[in-house]
Amino acid sequence: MTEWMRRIWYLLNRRRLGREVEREMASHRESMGEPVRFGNALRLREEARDIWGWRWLDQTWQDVRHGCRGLRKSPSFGLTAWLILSFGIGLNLTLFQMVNLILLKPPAVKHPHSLVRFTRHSKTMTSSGVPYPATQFYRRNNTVLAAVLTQTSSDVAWGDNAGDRVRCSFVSANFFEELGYGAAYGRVFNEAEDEKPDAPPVVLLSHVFWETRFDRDPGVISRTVRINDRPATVIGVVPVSFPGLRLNTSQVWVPMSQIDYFHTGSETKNEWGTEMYARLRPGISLSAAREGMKPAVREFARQRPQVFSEDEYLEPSASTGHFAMAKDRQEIWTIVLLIAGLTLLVLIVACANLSSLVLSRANHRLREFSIRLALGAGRWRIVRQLLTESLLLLGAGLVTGMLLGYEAAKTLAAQFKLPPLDFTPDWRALLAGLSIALFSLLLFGLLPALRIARQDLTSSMKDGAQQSSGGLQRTRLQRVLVGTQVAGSCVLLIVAGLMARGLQRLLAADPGFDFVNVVVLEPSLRLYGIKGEAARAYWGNVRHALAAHRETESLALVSLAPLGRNLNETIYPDATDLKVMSSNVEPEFFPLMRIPILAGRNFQASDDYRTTIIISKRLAERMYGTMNVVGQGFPKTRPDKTIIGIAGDANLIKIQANNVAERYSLFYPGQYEDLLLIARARAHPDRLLEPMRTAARQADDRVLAHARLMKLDFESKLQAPRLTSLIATLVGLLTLSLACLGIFGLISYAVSLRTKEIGVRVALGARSNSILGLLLRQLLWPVALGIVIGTGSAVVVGTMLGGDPFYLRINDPAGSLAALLVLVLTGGLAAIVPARRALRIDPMRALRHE
Amino acid sequence: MPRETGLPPGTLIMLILRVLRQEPLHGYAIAQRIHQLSSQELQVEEGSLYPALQKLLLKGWVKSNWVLSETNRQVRQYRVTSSGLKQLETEIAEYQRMNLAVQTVLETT
Repeated sequence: MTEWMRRIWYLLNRRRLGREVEREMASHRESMGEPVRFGNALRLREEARDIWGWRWLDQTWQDVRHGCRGLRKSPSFGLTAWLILSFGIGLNLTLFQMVNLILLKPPAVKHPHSLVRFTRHSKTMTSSGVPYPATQFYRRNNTVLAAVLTQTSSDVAWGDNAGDRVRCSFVSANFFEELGYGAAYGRVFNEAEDEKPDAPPVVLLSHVFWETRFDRDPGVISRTVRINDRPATVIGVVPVSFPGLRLNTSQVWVPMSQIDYFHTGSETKNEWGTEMYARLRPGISLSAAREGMKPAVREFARQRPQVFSEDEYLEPSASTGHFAMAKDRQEIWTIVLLIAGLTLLVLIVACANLSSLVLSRANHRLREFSIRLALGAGRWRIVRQLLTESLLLLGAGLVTGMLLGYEAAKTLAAQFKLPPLDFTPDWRALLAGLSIALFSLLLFGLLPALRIARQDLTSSMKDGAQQSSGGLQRTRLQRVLVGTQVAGSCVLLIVAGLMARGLQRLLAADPGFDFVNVVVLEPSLRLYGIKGEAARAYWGNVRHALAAHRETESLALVSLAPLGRNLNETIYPDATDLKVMSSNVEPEFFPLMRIPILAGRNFQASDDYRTTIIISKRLAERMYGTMNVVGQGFPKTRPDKTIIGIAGDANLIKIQANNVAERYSLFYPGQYEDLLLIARARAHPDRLLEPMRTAARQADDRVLAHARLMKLDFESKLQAPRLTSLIATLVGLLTLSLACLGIFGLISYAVSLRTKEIGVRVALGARSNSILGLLLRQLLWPVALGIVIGTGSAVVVGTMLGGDPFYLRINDPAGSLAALLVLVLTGGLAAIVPARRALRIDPMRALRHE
Repeated sequence: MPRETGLPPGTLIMLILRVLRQEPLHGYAIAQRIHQLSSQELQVEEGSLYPALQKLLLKGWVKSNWVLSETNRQVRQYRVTSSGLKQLETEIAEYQRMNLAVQTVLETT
C-alpha cells in the first residue's frame, strides 16, 4: 500500500479510526499515575487526525454546511441570487450556443474539415453561384478535389395545388453519401442518377416533411407524388439529424440531373449558378485548392469568354464559420462580438447586483465575523466561507443557466426558422459555461469577500452596525456597484429603445413604396423553358385577362419583386459603401408602386433600354454628391447610360437598409421569361389572387404560377426584427429591474447604517427634505456617472450596429430618450421608497437602539 | 510534537521505532520503555506519542492491532514493519552523523 492509498483508506474509515485513537488515549491516561503529564487530549486528537491530511476536506464540508444553512435561513436572498445568476448565465449561454452551432462548430457531416465551398471572384465582381456546366468541367479537370457537390434550391409546387409551395433542393447525386448520411428509410440518391438524365424521376423527403405531410407513414417509399405537376417516385426519407449545408431547410430533394424534368426546359444545367461544394483531396489546404483550381478555371474561361473573365478565380471557404467568405466573416464576427458584449453586460449588471446583495448580507454579519476573528479564526477562513456560499449559488445558477440556454437556443432557432440544430451542450459550451461562471465568481464572490476581509473588524465590533456616522466610506464599493448597474442597464435600455424605434419605423413603413394593395404573380417561365416570343405572348395573354378585371387598377412587369429575394447587387467603384439593386421595369412600375420621380422624367416606351437609366436619390447623392444629375452619364466613371430621372428611395429588398440603392432600366426584349407581374388592386387585393391564377393557367396550363399578396412578403420580413426587438426589450427591462434593485438596496442599507444619525438630526429639528437630500445625495455621483458612461457606450454600440441586420439609427433620439426616461423614473422610485422609510424613524427609538 | 517533551527535536519517531524493534508494544508501554531505557532521563509529553504513532502508521513504518494486555484490557499494539526497520537505520545513521559533527565542534578547543 502506498501512502496515498493509506490516506484514502483512512478517509473511508475515519470515524472508526478516530474512535480507536480516542480509546487508546483514554486507556493510556487511565494507566498513568498523573494524567496531567499526558497533555491536552482534544488538541492531541486533532493533531493525530491532521496527520492524515484531510483537514481541508473537513473545513470545506463545514463551509458547505454552513453556507447551506445560511442560504436556508434567508431563502429570499438565495432565490433572488439563483434567479439572477440563472438569467445572466443562461442568456450568455444561449447566445454562445447559437454562435457555437452556426459559426464555431463545423457542420455535422462526414470529415467537415476537408469540405469547402467555392465562390467566383474577380477584380470587379463576387458571385456565390457557379454555373453548373463550369462545376462539371472543374470536377473532371482538376488535381485537388476528390468530389464536387452542387446544390440549388427553389420553391416547387407540391401535389395538385399550385399554391402549395415546398422548399426543394436540386443536388448532385453524391450529395448525401459525401456528407456521410444514408436514408432513414429507403435509400438516398446514387451515382447512376447523375449518369443517366433519363433515369426515372425520384425524390427524397425530409424527416419533418414526412412526419407532417405523410403522418410518418412507412409505406411512403415508392409511392408516386407530384412535383410541379410531374410524377416522381419517393425513394427515401432523410434522417432527422441531417443538417444540410448552410442552414438549408429543404423539405424535398431531387437529383440535379433531373431538374429539367421538373422545370421543363430549365436552363439551370446550362447557365444558372449553383452552390458549389467540394471535398478536398487529403493534405490539400485551402490555398493549395485555390492554386490547384486555377488551370481549370482559366481553361473554362477560355472556352466561354462571354460568361467568364480573364482574371477570374475560385475562392474556397472552409466549412467552419458557415462557409462564409472571408470578407463576410469579418462583418459577421463584428456583429456577434457586439451582441456578445451586450449579453456579457447583462451578466456584469447581474453580478454587480449580487455583489452588493452579498456585501450587505456580509455587513449584517460583521459582528459575527469580528467575534470569530477575535476567537482565532483566520481572515482567509472567513473569506473562504463567504466564497463557499457564492460557489453554492453559482453551481445552482450554472446548472439552471445551462438548461435555460439549451431551451432558449432551441426555441429561438425555431422562431427564426432555422433547421433543427442539436443544441446539446458540447465541450465548448461547457467550457464557456465554466468561464462565465468563473468570471461571475470573481465579480460577485471574491469582490465582497475581500472587501469584508480587509475591513477593520475590531472597530466594527466596537460599534456594531449602528455607528453614528462614517457610513459613507463603507458604502463606497456599493456605490461603485450601483454605478456599474446603472451604466449597464443604460446601454441595454438605449439599444432596446433604438431597436424598438427601428421596428416602429418599419411598421410605420415608409419603405419608399406602397405594397399594401399589391399582388405578385411569379410563374418562373424560364424554369419551364418558355422563352422569347412564347414568353412575350404568355404575358400578353395574362395581362389581357387581368386588365379586364374590375378589381385591377394597374399592372406592371418587373424583373425584381419588391420585398422578394435579392437576385443581384452591384458595388460601383464610385460609391463603394452602397449595394445597388438593379431592377428592370416598365414605365407603369413607378406609379403602380407609388415611387415618386423626384427629378427628370419617367421612362417612355420609346426610350432605348440600353442607354437610359433612372437611379434612386441615395445613389445619386452618394455617387455624384448631388441630385442634379439628370442628363449625366452613368456610372460616373466609364458611363454607358444617360440618367433621365431620379426616383425616390425605395428599399425594395431590405426595408430598413441604408446601404442599399436602386437603379432601374427598361427590361430588354429577351427578358420576358425572367419577369414577374405586379398588380395593384383597387380595394381588395385578395380578390385578385384567383383571377390571376386562372389567367396564368389559361395562358399556359403547364405553368403552375405562384400568386401572392405582397403584404405577406412584408410580414415575413418583419418577423426577425420583431423578435429581436422583443428580446432586446425584455432583456433591457430585466436589467433595469436589477439596477433598481441595486439602488433600492443601497439606499436601504444607507438608512440602516445611519439610523442613529438620522435620529439625532430629526431630534434637532431637521426637515424631512434635508434628510431625503442627505440620503439621495450619495446616489448622485454613481447614477450620473453611470448614465453618462452608459449613454456614451450606447452611442458607440448603436453606431456600430447601424448596418445590416439591425439598422439602428443613433440620430433618432426618441428611443434613447424614452429609455433614459424609464431609467430615471424607475431608478428614482427605487431610491425614494426606502429613503422615505428613514423619515418615519422615531428619534427616541433610534437613539435608544444601542 | 516536541513541545516540552524534553526530547531533542525529531528524535521521537526514531525512539519509538527503536523500542518497537525489540518487541511489539502498546502506547503506554512505549512511553514507559523510552523512559526506562533512557535511565529516566528522557521525559515524553506522553500524549504527543499518538500523533507520532499516526504518522508512523501513515508512512507504513508500523502496523497496529488490538490485543488483550497482561492486565487484561483491550490495548492497541504496534509492531514495526520492514520498511520501518529500514527507516530506523537511516534515522540512526543520520542522528549519529549529526551527533558526531556537534561533538567535534564541542571538542575543538
